[in-house]
Amino acid sequence: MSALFFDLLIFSVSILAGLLGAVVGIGGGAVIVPILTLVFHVDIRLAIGASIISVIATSSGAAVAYIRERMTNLRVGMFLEMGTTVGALTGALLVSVVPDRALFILFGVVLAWSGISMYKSHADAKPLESSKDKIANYLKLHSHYEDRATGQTVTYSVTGTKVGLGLMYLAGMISALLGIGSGALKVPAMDLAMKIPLKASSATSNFMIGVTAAASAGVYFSKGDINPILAAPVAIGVLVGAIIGSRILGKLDAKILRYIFVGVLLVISIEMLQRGLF
Amino acid sequence: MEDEEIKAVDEKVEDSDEMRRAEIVVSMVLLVGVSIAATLIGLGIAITFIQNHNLASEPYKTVASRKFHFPTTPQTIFKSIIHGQGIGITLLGLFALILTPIVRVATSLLVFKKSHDTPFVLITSFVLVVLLTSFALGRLNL
Repeated sequence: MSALFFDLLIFSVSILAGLLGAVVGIGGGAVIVPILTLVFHVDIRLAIGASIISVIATSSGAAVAYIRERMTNLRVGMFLEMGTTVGALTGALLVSVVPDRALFILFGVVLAWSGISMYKSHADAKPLESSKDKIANYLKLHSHYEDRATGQTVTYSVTGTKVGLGLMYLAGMISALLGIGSGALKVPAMDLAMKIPLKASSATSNFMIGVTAAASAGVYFSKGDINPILAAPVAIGVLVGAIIGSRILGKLDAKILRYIFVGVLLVISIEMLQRGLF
Repeated sequence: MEDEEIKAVDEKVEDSDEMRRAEIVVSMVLLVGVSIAATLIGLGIAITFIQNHNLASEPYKTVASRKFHFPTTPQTIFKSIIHGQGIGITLLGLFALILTPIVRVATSLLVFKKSHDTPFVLITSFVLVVLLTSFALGRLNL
């Protein structure tokens, strides 16, 4: 296959990755890494480099619409970014020490865990009405958004800030190690531990993953892991997909969103575990 | 009656002009960053393939591999751009994309500072310092 044809193919795949990534808040890296490594047998480090770019593109591309629609909780996002950036820094320093196989297994286990916990949680649980969480109250993290699927304004309180921040540290570390935005961890953390409604969790995760990825991108960039021939079609394709995807999320039924999320996580998890174990 | 209930909860929600301003500024920064990056990357990769006919027909496994070398330091990227090479322009675009979230954090810091929201000034400052540290460490890793 010629390099030009390869680039065009990667561009098309990236549009889909961006679309899916924007809707479920996971950055598209979870799609890009397996396709590049499993289908095209690209070196995992280069795939991770391209994926870092994909994460930033998904985040920045979709965030514009999500913020305007007020689905992103900016205050929660910025608060949790403290955890993700420190975690990402730790992860980027560990990446050359951790072997490839371990990365695949870690990736698989993390995604499977997220998928199972998302499936178990109740899709129609009522948002939290008031919170005893001192940090959440002090920083005024509570918010509301308009659900375009039901036409109702959903007002919610935020809790579990400490657990959330701790999980974000882990998520940041894993995203630097694997080149995913680790929205796959962020969304369940916000949804399950902090009781933020799924759509707001997804949009806020999408907002944060760009910064998480940027924290480790500098390291990858100077190591030469961001191959321009590979990263360019990924960046542009994902941007196109993310902009389209960001127009869909608001209108989606939250229950359907949850099932899409769980399905995506489980499929990729199985692929990655297989790669790491056999 | 339902409206009243919503109002009661709403009082706890931070819905000030400050947050509106932050939202507008943040989404503008992202939009501009993404537009610049996409233009440079698209232009750069097109020029790269036009400049090197061999590259386009080369098997992708040699190009999308560790054997393929390209500039990675600001100096060499700058040199590549000066020489009108597409690869330099592509890398500049990718760099602009990476910078976008960082500039987003920096501008939201300014918005919070302007509205004297001290906790969030501290939070965004902390995030910015960590981001800049990781960039500095990235350079050292060479």
